Amino acid sequence: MQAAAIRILLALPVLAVLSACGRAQAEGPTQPIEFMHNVHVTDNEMECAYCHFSVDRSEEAGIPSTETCMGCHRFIRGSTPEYQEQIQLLQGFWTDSLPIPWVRVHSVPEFVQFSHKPHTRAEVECVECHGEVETMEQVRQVESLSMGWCLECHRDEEASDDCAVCHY
Amino acid sequence: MERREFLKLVGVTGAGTMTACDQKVGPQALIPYLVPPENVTPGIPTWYASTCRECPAGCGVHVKTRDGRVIKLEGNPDNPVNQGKLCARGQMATQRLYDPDRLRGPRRIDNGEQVEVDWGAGIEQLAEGLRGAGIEPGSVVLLTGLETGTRDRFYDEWAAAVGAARVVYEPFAHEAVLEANRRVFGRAAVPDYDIAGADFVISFGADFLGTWVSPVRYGRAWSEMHAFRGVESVRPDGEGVFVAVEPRLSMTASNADEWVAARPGTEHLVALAMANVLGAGGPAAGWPPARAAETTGVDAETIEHLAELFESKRSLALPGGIGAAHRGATAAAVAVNLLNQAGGAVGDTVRVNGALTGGVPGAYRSMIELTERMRSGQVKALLVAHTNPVFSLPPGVGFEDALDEVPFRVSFSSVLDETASRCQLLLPDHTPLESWGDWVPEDGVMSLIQPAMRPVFNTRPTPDVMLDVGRVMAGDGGTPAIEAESWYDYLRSAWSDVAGSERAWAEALKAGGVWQAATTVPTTPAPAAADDGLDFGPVPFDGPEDDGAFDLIVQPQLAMYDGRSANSPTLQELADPVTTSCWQTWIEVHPDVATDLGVKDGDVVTVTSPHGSITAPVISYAGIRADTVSMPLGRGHTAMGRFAKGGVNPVELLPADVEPNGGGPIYQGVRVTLTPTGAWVPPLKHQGSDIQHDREIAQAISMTEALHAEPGHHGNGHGEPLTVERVAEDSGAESPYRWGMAISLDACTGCNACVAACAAENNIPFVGPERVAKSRQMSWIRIERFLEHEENGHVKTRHIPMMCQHCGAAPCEPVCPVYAAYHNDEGLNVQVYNRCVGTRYCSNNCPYKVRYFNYFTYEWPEPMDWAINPDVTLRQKGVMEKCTYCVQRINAAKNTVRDEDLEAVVPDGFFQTACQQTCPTDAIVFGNLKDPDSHVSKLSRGPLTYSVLEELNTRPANFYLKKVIDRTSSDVALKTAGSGVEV
Repeated sequence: MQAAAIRILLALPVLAVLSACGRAQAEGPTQPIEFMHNVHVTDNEMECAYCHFSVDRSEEAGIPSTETCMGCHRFIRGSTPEYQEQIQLLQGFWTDSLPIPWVRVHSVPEFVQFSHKPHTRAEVECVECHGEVETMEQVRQVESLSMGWCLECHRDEEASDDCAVCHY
Repeated sequence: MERREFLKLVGVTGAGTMTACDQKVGPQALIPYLVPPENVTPGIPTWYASTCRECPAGCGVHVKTRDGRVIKLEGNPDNPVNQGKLCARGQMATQRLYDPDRLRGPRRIDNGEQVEVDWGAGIEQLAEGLRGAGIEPGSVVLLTGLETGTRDRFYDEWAAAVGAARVVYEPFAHEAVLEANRRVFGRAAVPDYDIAGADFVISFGADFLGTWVSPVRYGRAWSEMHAFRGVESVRPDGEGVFVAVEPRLSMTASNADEWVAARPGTEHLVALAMANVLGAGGPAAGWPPARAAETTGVDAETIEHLAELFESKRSLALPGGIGAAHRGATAAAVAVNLLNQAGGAVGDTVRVNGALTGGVPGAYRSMIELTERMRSGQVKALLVAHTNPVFSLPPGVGFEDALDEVPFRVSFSSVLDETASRCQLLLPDHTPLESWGDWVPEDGVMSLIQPAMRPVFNTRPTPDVMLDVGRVMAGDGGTPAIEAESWYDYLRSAWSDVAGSERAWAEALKAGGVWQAATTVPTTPAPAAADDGLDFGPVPFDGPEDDGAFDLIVQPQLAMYDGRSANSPTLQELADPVTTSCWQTWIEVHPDVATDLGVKDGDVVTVTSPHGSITAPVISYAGIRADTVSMPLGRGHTAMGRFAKGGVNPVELLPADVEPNGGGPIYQGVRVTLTPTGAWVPPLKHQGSDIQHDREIAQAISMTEALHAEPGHHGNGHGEPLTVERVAEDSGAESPYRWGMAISLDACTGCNACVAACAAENNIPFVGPERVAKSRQMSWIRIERFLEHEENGHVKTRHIPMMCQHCGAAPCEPVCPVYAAYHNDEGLNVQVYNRCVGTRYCSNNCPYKVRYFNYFTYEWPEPMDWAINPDVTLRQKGVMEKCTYCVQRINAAKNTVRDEDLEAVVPDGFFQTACQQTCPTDAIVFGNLKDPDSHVSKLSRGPLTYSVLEELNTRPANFYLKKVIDRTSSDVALKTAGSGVEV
């Protein structure tokens, strides 16, 4: 009995720690503006790369500048009071010349050198790693982004599974 | 519960915790641009062309920025000065930009306390101070370092407008060389020495590969003259020969084919005697070789042989450096000029047109005069910019005390150096990487300086401050001293002739400047009067004449230069190319002297001259005369910052007097005594042993043999000639690559530029002196330097860059219990940091000792960490690391070529590793060994190629080309004409 209790106590931190490790999430983080990917992508048929402009030429997909947002939202004020409230938040950031402190959803550890460009070049669809963002009101991490998960695809697609592709 | 079960669980828990620690827990912000800057893509570097200002050479640079921050400098290939190369200090300019001890804004000093002020108040106070100083001529002095181009003109103009006298001071201002050239050529400038064009170069003390005038330019030129690149590329008149005449084997001299160790202060007599052999009159007439031999300690046959070489080849004699910083410095430089004249070099390899601007006539004398005026109360206001005389001048000059007599003292220094900390008002300037400006390193070359990022701190360009002060002083409605809106506008209009249109200006900025042919400068040669009033005899040294005293040589140190680089921790830790020591000021003594004194490396001695006394640890060095000792300049700061405090300042031993003709300082002019104190400090040498212990690590071959060497004469593994097929076995059959490197020991000068470049590219941390003492320094590439003792008591140096050899049969790989060290398909020996558990077995099993262990998580103080390269992982405590062959650059190159074609193979020369990119002499060639036509592949199969510790059969991917020695024996040097093979 005592031994079992110790076993549970010792094992607990393992579980707690592992679950905090950038695994798939049930719910994404709260963002400074309740930006809705579903409204933009599904309802208004925008391309991912319209906002994530450097996804096909850089390691970073690119977070749109506030100017990009304002390109449309100078004119689009929102169809419902909830939308209007959020768009006013955006306009507030713009008027005050403040950048929007978005909260990162997807990340890999610092010892991983990930680049978007080779993946878009190989025609990997955004949803394959990011899940069906076009249906999400609040973006959450769907896949584990663990090394095993990366390698599964790399092996299926006959991409390199050499460590030095990502670890250097 | 069983003990074993308990441990198992604890072990698992520990592992879980460790995994978690590697990831940032908690939300991270993603901050986008408000309005995106043009031509900036996140994740892709943006490059700006600019000019390095770490020394007066003014090399062109490309500044690499990521997300608005400068992360690295590389040479600008289009700039004629450095042609794409940089030295160690240039590579580390980022650490002056991100110096955590920089002044963060304007300050007023009240009773010794720094009080923050805003720029408006600072400018008001400066204007008020200038008004208070009155309008007596010379009551306001603007003291600056060497400037060229527009900023120089601006300072002159502003000084004239506010009635200030301008004084220019630079510690290494080449006063004697300038004066000698004024006398002989009619122009006080450093001529365009065509080292590359000469076949025989003889240097009389100039450290032209390390610190003298324009070392990167000269390094490249020297390699063109001297580096053996194969029989087919032997120069028409044979490969170059380089002889160094100096009492100590400096880094430059260590690359000479022959070291002529003349007594300090007599180097020029070798030049005069050579001129005498060549039939020159004037002062040379009195110095036949026999007489010179008695005085210099160099035998007459050697002098005659050198004269013969000088006459028979296209030759060049270089004055300067330690041979031109004593009481007879101008005479010495004139003597060298006379040799150049006698040997027909003037107008050929010595050209007064196209001269270099790095010098200030009479700089030191003008400081003596300024000090006198300050002491007598004539100077009411002193404004100091870009120079630190309190540190650089010998205390005997009395400059620091004389500052007390100046009522109003202002510093524009961006760091709180010794001079700034004696001022009352601190108005810090931007560093060059944040500034606009230009630089004219030589006639016709106009390089632009442009900001590569926004200022790190609340600093302001000094010319802008001066314009503001002019406006404040002019008052409402008055006309300011200089009518320019801003420093940028002033610069822009100064460039209106060269790049007037917006388009031309943009082109010039993109190119890094405008290069034009040097215009002909009228000169009035007056060789008849060149030797007026000069004493060509041996130079007097102060101090005891007896045998117990030594001539002291005080020379610039490669990494510190004049001391301006002292707060860069990476440069502090860079191994000195001569002693391999770092972080401190040592005193070099001959091993016999060390034995006589009963001291060993690290034993502290008191060094006493007639002018002062300091203590320093001894390092014994066989490359110095037994009657001479030597100390490096640049360390021993009392201010400037946290990293600058180590060591002592040898100027405390120097006399205050002036070289009478040129007006330069006396860096070589005292005799010192050494008294052991009984204390010991770690000598902080990167290298344990000076000799090779017969391991043939750095190999050499005579010129005669090199000219006849057959391809395949070297074995590899078991003595078979290397083939591409053999190489291919060391990488995957499917892979088109086997990356490899070929390093020419004949081209390597030991300048350590590669070491600094590697540190900048690969986020190599510094570990500090206390850990260097335990040999825990981290440099992935290091320059090993070995001394070869010869029968005549002389030593010859061999330099060999040593880094991971990416062995085909790597001893490190099979001993790793977790497969953190493994061999990949491209032949790379990869180290996976996140797998490494820190057993250090790999390092123990590495015969080359090129693996480095993180005993701690090393960090850079903010904002120095802004220079971190995001493409390279930061390593933590407990992880082994080593050279990766810049795998991030390999991956980037493959990524780029695949844009066009997914199957494309990276072509030869498509990219360079960081060390290769910066090497001034192109000693390093990197590429694909599997491509039989690649440069590296051809070199790997060349006749002079070998592998280090070949007998171990580790099948390294690094190939070394032997150093080519024995060039001065007359049958080789004089007869390697034509194709060079008919010797």
